[in-house]
Amino acid sequence: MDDVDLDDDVDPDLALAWSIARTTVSFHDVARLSAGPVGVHATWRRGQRCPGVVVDRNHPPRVQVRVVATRPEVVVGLGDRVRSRLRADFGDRIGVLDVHVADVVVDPVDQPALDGTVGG
Amino acid sequence: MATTTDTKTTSTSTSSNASVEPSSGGSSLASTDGGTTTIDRAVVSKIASIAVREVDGVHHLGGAISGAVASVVKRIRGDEHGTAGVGVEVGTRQAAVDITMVAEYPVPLQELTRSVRDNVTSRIESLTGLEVVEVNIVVTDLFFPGDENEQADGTSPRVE
Repeated sequence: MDDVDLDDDVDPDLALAWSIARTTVSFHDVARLSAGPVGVHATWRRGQRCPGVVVDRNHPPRVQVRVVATRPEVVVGLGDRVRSRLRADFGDRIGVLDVHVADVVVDPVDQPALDGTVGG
Repeated sequence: MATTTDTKTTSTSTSSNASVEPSSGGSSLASTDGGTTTIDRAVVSKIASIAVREVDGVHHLGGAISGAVASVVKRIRGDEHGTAGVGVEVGTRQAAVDITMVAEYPVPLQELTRSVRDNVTSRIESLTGLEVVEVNIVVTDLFFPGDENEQADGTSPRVE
């Protein structure tokens, strides 16, 4: 993920989006964020862009995070775990928080079976 | 890559009137004041694709032509998890799956489709929390052992 220097000139929504993005991708079940097939799911401010996190300051404030799961067996409950983590870190700053599991990584070489075992 | 000159089509499918609650491209599993959780159909498609391939007797997903195309794509990309042959409709809490596949001969097709249906349902429900209301399966062709060898040289004479 591209890094952004969060200086005073950065829009607060974009700064919040980048902070949410960093926290989300640090979650061990999240492989990366997804901006969607055409990249529209992002926060855009002043020519800068945070893909995969949409900060909407309308009322009520709403944040959407689009994640790619690391493997199929972590998909169930992933939204709740991500939401709990972000709530703990950001509290009321993010208002309503929607989590969308946009995709899942499946390793084509060393395919993990769906029960969590590897190989076979 | 397997192609056949003969058309051996067997079709078995179940069809019910079950309908999936509409949704806009994803499934909403939790909706609270704090927000919703949705799962994209791409996730469900991949899980279904893997679940089908886990069943013995399934040669490949998709029809004969799409199987050939998928084989080429697989060689180029090294991707074995394309979702060709799998169609998914997802709703707020439910999903419906359409599967097109080629079976190995002489696997009993009723048992095969039952196994595929059970495995797909089990995997999707356990891994996503969605209720699977419908799994429609179409077996478009049979794969005979030796088909690939005949295709490899491409010069098999009709008579000796």
